[in-house]
This record gives sequence, C-alpha cells and structure tokens, in this order.
Amino acid sequence: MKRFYVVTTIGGGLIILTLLLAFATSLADTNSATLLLIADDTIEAGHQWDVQIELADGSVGQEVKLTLWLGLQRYDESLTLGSGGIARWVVPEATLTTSGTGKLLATAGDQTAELNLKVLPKSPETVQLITTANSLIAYGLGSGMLIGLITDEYGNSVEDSLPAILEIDYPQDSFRTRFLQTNNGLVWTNLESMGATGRLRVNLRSLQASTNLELVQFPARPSMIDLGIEPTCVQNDGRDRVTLVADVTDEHGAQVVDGTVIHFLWDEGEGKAVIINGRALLRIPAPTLIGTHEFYALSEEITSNTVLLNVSTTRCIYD
Amino acid sequence: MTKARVKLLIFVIAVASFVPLGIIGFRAMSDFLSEFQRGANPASIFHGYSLVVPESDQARWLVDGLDTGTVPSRVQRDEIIASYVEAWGALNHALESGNVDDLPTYWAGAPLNQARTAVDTDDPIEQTDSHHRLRLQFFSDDGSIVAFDDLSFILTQTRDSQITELLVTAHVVMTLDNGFWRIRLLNINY
Repeated sequence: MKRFYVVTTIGGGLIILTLLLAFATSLADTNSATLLLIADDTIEAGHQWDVQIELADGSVGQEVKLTLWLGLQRYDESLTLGSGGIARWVVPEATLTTSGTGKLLATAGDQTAELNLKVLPKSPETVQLITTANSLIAYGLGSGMLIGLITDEYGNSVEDSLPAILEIDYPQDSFRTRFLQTNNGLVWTNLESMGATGRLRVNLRSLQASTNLELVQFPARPSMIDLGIEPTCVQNDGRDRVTLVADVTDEHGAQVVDGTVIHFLWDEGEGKAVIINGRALLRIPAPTLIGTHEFYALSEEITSNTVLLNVSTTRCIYD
Repeated sequence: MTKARVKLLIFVIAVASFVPLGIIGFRAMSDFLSEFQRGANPASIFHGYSLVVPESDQARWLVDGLDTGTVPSRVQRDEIIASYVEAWGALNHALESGNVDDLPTYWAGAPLNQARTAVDTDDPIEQTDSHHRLRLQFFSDDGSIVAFDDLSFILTQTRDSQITELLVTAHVVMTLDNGFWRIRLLNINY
C-alpha cells in the first residue's frame, strides 16, 4: 500500500512538472514573438498612414512583407529592416480612401503580426434622394417612400447615426420636417400626401450636403361629370355638328388628371375623348332622326347628367 | 541535267514550299475565324439574363432586422441573393483574369471603382468566397433598393502560392437598375 502511495505521488508530481514546463515554454514562445506593428488604429479616409515595423532580433537588410486588405483592395509591400530592426511604411495621402476596417498582416521570417485599421468616412458630400412614387394622389390618399443615400467625397457611406433633416413642402404652404439618422449611409421614411393638388418639394440635408426633389400631388379619381351640349336643337338636314363638353372633377372639386378617358354615349352610338385641363370635348355629326336624343358620359363608375338634343324638321327657335 | 529533271526539281521545290505556306495559311484562317467566335455564345443574347440561386452553404438569408420598411417576397429574396453572389463571382473572375468588362453588370458607383482598382492585371489573385449570411435591414416598397448585412463570410485569396483566409463582414446597399441588382454601397470590415 505504501509503495502505491509513493508511485502515485511521484507520478502525479511528474505530470504537474510536465504541465508547468509546457506552460513555461508557451510563455517563452509568446514572449519571443517580437514583430511589432506601431501605427494609428484609426484614420480618416484619404489620410496618410504610417506604420512602424520593429523586429527586436531582426538584422539590417532583413525583409518584411506587408499585406493590407481594405475594402476590396489589397496592398502588398516589401520592406527592408534598417538599423535597430526597424522599418517604416508610409501609405501616402489619397490612397486609403475606402472606409471600413482593414487588416494588416506583416511577416518577417517565421514571425507574423496583425493590426486592424479603422478608416472613417469623411463628412457627407453627396446626397441622393430617391422616391418610390414620383406622383401621389393628393388629400392624404397617396403614399410612397423617400430614400436617401448619403456618401462622402470618396463614395463611402457616411458614419452611422449622423443626423439628416428631411423637409417636405406640401402644396398650400403646409410644411413638415422629419429628423432621420443614417444607417450604413441610408436614411428612409414613408411619405404620405397632404393637402390639395400641386407640387410637393422635398429637401434632404446632412451637415453641408443637400439635395432637392420635386413630386406632384395629383387629383383623386373622377367623382363628378358635368355634361353639356351645344347646340341643344338642330334641323334634320344632316349638316349640323354637335359638341359634347364634359367637365370632370374629383371629390374635392379639383380637375382630374389630364389624359383620363371619358366615354360619351347616346342612342345611336358612342365616342371617347381624353381630358385636357379638366375638360373632355367630343364633336359629332348631329343625328338626323327626328325627335329628342339623350346623351350622357361615363368615367369608371361615374355617370354624368343626361343632356338632350332636339332634332326637328323645322328651324330651331330659341327662347 | 535534262529538261525533265529540271521540271521535276521545280515541281518538288514547289510542293515543298506549298506545304509550309499551306500550314501558315490554314492557321491564319483558323485564327481569323476564331477571332469571331470568342466571348459569349452569339445566341446567348436571345436567352436573357439568368440568375442561379446559390446553395445554402454558399449564401442564405438570416432572420430579418427589426424595421425593414417592406418585406421582400421569396422570389425577390432569391433574385437579390443570386445577384449578390454573382457580383462576388464577377469580382473573383476579374481578379484572376484581369478582365473587368463584366463588373458593371453587378457593381455600380464607388464599389465599382473600388473593384476596378482592385484588379491588377500584372499580378492576378485567385479569390473564392463562401458562407454569406445575409440579414435584411431595408427593402423599399417599390422593390428597387435593398440594404443588408453580410455577416462573417469567408474570402480566400491566393497570390504567389500564398493562401490567406479572411473573415469578413459587409454592409451592402444594392439597387435595381434596368433589371439588374447592383452593389451600390459597400462597407467591408475584416
């Protein structure tokens, strides 16, 4: 039994000793990693970047290979150590123009060292304002999205949480301001129409950078068709022409959008005309059938009032 | 030397000179014809633009971010992820071949300039990409602008037989221009 304890104690001691030795060796290895990279870890895009490379046991003339990844770029450089095992890499201005976090890897013999470089974007230079709806139905019935892409002079997306101010100038002097914050150079907001028809001006700015956009608030769908006819009485000799006039407005009394098609219907036929400045006109040969003829107009589900044309064998007498 | 022998000699010399001239002519004609057969299959202009949805180990969507504006449909997600992976494929091809002609199909704005600058025709880089994990951050209501994060994908570069594996995170904005999704803003963190 005593022998067992002795063997166990010696065995355990040996294991602990081995572990201690391994730990000490690893520590020694760590300490022998003597390749040092000394540089600013943050610069602004386009600025010069200096890196000092120190190899404690490096000899003069020894080669150090450097690779920097930044954005999509890869920069490879080979330097020669000078006295004291020191070399210097100067990346000139306007070279590191891409924002993001880069990675520098240095290799000298079997020694390697890494360094991360954060390149900050510059202040906003360009604002692109994009809308998903160039025109909106007025009166709060239309909606779309406004999206801003804000970049610096090198095309980098600007820093996150940068303030951006969106000013929306609605028709009839209604004005709204929204405060947004950048996220990867992007700002966005929903846009709802407001007020009557007319031009809607939008301005987006972030610090000094600014841009404008103009949208149109157009009328809603036709709500009322006021139909007229000229003349209201013709002789049945087939030599007269009749003009049908449809004034079309939306539910707020505004003229509907140009180009809206109006269908004109009467006993013997039908015709179409498009609206220009709120009015659709149709000129047709007068019917020759003696009697009273009814005319009306349609647009989508809206029907106009009915107008009458009197066709007679004699001259028309107006009151 | 008889007249017949002189004729025979002239015939032999003529035949001997016709053989190399024939070979040179054949090769020149072959080069001439192959010049017009390079690049895309001429019939491909009628086939349109095809997108291949990547395998899930190559690229996949993660759970969306909090407020994405609008949520894209499955088809839109497929189109975006396919275009994004093809954009990296086009860059990989350009880095290796030095030919940047295909880049504008998938890249635009500052990232396109970056990609063009990254291509070194004298010292090619072999690059592969994998494990793209996309988290949607924004999608416009008209389906023309998308922003997402690509979390911890792997870029493997080989130059002069030296292989480097890079773990990369990217913030991406893509826009749909003339039917093509293109990378318009790109912020990369190694």
